[in-house]
Amino acid sequence: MHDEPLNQPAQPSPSGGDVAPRPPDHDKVQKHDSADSADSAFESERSENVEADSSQPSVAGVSTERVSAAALPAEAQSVKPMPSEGAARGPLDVAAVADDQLHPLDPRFVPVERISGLITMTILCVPSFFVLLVASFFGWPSRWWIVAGWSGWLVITAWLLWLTLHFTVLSFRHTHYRVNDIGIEIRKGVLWRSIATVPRSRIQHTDVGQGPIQRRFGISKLTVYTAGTVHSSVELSGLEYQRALLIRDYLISSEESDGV
Amino acid sequence: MTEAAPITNPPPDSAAEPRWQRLHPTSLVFNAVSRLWALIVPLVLFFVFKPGGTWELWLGGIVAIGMFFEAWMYFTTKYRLAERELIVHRGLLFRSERHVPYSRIQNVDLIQNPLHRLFRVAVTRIETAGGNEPEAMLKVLSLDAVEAMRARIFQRRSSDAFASDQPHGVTAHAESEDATGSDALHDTSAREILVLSTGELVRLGLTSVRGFALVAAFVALLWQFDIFEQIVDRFDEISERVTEAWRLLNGTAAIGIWVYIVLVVVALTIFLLLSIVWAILKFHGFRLVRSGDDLRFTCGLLSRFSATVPRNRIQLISVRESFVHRWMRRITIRVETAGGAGDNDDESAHFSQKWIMPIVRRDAVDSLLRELHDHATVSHIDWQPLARGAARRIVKKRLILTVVLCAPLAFLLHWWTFALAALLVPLVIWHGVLSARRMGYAHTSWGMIFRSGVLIRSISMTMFNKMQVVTARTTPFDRRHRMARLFVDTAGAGPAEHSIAVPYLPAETVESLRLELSAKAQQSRWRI
Repeated sequence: MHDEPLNQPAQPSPSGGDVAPRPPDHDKVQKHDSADSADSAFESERSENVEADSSQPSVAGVSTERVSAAALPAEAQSVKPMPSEGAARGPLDVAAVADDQLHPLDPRFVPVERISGLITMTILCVPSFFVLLVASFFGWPSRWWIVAGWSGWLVITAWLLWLTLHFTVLSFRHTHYRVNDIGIEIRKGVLWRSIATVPRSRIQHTDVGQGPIQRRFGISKLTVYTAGTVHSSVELSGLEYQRALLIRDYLISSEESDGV
Repeated sequence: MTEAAPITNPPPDSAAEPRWQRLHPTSLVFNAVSRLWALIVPLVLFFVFKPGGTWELWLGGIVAIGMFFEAWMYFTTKYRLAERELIVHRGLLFRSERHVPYSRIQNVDLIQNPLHRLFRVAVTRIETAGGNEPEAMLKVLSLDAVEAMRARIFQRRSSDAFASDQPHGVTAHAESEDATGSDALHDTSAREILVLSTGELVRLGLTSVRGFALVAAFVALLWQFDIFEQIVDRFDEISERVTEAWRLLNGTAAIGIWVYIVLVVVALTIFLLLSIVWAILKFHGFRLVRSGDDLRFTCGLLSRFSATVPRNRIQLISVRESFVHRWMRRITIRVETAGGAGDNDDESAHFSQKWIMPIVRRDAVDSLLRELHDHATVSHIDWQPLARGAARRIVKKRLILTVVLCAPLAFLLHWWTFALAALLVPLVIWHGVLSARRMGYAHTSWGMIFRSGVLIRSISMTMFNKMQVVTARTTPFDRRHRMARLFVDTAGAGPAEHSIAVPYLPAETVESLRLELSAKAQQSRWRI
């Protein structure tokens, strides 16, 4: 369990093939390089400028660029992160997270999901295994029940194992997000896919949460709450903790100007 | 309101700080009565059986405690209309002081039962956007106090909106409105929009879903009488009995069938009458007026209900036209406001939203919609169709569903299954094609419109500044056909009602719509 995060060579495998997720610190390093001395007094102005800059292409010529991204989400994420004019303060700037690029989750999402999946599996499968063992030892209630029980157990265990080992990779590969001047866009789902766009001005409040395993791996879950009914909350699990905080700060930074 | 605030920095209102106000004295009586009503069963049992011993003491004690509690609540509940918020203070030992900013208040609803009306008081319900229950429930306030409160809340709020950059820029104008707005229903600025005559109420009764619900109840009742089992049993015998059908019709078994038919007709008539009675009880004297940017309506024969719905709080407008509506050339308009969502048990919670315009003439619908939103309309809309092949997908899906659902019937009906299929399949295809043709969306300069439904047609519309989350979804089947579905979430889109969820669109359309709608939503401000 403790070996997992150190097991770096295993990390690229979840995304596989052409996806090739960046190591989590990739963005951080880039932005650190591009950082210049930021005056905190101009902080807000600059972030607005960045918004305005990125808004022009996105409102006018949106469709073609992003439609292709939608059609081929896997390729779309190979684009380079962040234009360098977004001045950074510290390793990552609040405005800098709004780079209008599709990002994959942090690759540590996979081991975290696998570990929690394995824990669930253990809780479900081990006791039932022993119950079945005892039952077959005493031959109760009947032979057919025992055969059915064992085969059911095998099927369910295999299914859970598949979910834990393979499906986590699939869902990792199919989850992307984009933060831009509009707000946050979250793409999810392996079979039933959805792309949810939450405009920044509609966000009521946000949560960044970490479970114990997530905390150990340094990733977190971002939850965005809106006044909507069906999508009153939109979740994105598997963000690097610092990044989640920055996204949160960026998303709620506009709220006071809305005056809701 | 249109005058610019002349005073930039008026002294705070503290000089005229409104005093704490109590509920109306009759609350004591009403609350005591409702408390007694809760104890009605033990009380009745007591007076019927008159058990001896300490029962009297126990019961008297319980009643006394209840009365004491009510009195306590009455004497410790007070409210104050402060500068920018309503403050409700409760309790003596465990105190609570709730501050409800005027800018968050969605609507102020009044409920008056006949006794309340006699004393000119009302139960006042104040709703905000969040939460399932009313933010504050004041039982009971005198009508004058309510009107003062209403005027204060809504005037203050609109002046807040007007002068949001000047937090204290509340003008003297608003104050004068307070004084004159004491009976705003008869205000000179209030304009009558919709009044329902008894004839309209009869139509409303006929169109109400309640009628269908009652029919469903009736079917359930029939089920109790095993009539369906008998019908199913007879299917086997029908082939044998076809030859002796005439004799059956004249024989005793036929009398049984006729009795059932007569029963059905009588019951249907009764239920329709009940629906009409319900509509008259609920909506007698329906009157919708618009004063400024607020819509207010009052209705009810015995219990009177009155509500204020601010126009800019309307999140979604839904126009509904069932086949009964169409036959009478009428239409129902509903709105969704944020607040009170999820509280489905309480009939009055959604009352103002569901029944803002319970039944209106088909030809007046556009002018009435304009009262709800400046651009809202149902005519001259440039409807965009679904993706090509949508009809085929709908039909295919429904046929599969029909087969799956009807397959078990094959064991019951034997070769009659084919007759059933011959009847159902064309129906399903016809309905599927029609519903695909009927579905459509329109993307206008102010929002998004979606229509659907064949027998019960609905058109829903929402504005850019009311859109919350824009979602594009695909199923594996969608992707195979290069389609996607678009869903626009709004605050207070009741899950059971019609919402803006457009299926079977070309994938590229959905993608560009998603981007455009979310960009426009972001640019516009949402003020609930």
